[in-house]
Amino acid sequence: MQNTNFIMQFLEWLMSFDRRALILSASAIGAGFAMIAGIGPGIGQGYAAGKGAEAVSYNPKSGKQATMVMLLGAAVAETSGILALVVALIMLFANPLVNLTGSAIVVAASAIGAGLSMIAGIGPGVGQGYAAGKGTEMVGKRPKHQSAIVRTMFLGQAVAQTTGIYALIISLVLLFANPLIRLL
Amino acid sequence: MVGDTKAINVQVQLLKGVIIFNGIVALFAVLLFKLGAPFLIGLTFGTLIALLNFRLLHITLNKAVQMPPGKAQVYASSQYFIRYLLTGVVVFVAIRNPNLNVIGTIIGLISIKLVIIKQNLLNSREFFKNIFRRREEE
Repeated sequence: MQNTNFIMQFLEWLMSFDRRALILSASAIGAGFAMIAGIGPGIGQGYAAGKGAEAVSYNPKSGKQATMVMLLGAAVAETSGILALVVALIMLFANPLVNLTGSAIVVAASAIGAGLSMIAGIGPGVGQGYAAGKGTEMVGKRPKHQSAIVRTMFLGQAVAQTTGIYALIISLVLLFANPLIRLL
Repeated sequence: MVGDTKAINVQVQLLKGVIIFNGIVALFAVLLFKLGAPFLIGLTFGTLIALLNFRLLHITLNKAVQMPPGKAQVYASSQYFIRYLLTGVVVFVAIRNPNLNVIGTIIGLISIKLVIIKQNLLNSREFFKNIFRRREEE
């Protein structure tokens, strides 16, 4: 009797493929998912630049100072984008899962999971860019308090980065030291 | 003009910081982990690209602040994706080329961010004291 459950049919259809092909295709999906994190720093840096332009137009005297703060803040905001890129490229060109022994479907799902985990990079990217924008705005308004504003901004950015690092750790664990295979 | 020299000073300080940081990383890598030339070449390669990216960011933002805010936002975002593509090419080359160590390149690429945070966050004890100081003591 043919199985009428759609999910079971789908899984059976998946298992009809070669093991290697299944893992490679899952890696392709994972790499694509990981790249979504690139949106975060894009939005964040755009916001920071917008705030910088506002700050310079409000108070051109403190423009140089504000631009410098924005430069440092925006540079930090890029980090999660780079991490996502690294995971995506590792999955495409140095995939450690292909030669892994164990159930094909678990390895394939791990590849997708590693990519999905990196989507968390959007958060730090947007958040750090937001902090950079607000820091720039306030340095533009009150240049005298620059050192306190900048330090607070970087403290916030360093804290904001942590979730991105957690995502990277989970992603790398799934890729290089997969604990799920041993559970089978 | 004062702002100009300040901005250049910040960049020189950052360059020094990056060189010192990567020097320490290279020393540890060679002495403790016995990593050879590929790691050092990768580290140098990554660091140089990170510095180039930072310079590009500087040029982009200096242009962006002269624009109306909405336009600046779009311009900075689009320039970011160009730099992102450049970083992608660098990591790709590092993975494909056996003479370059990928981990070294990635450390080089991220080192500048760590140095920025270190230089701006950990340079004042007063700031940390103020976080924990109680209001009543003042």
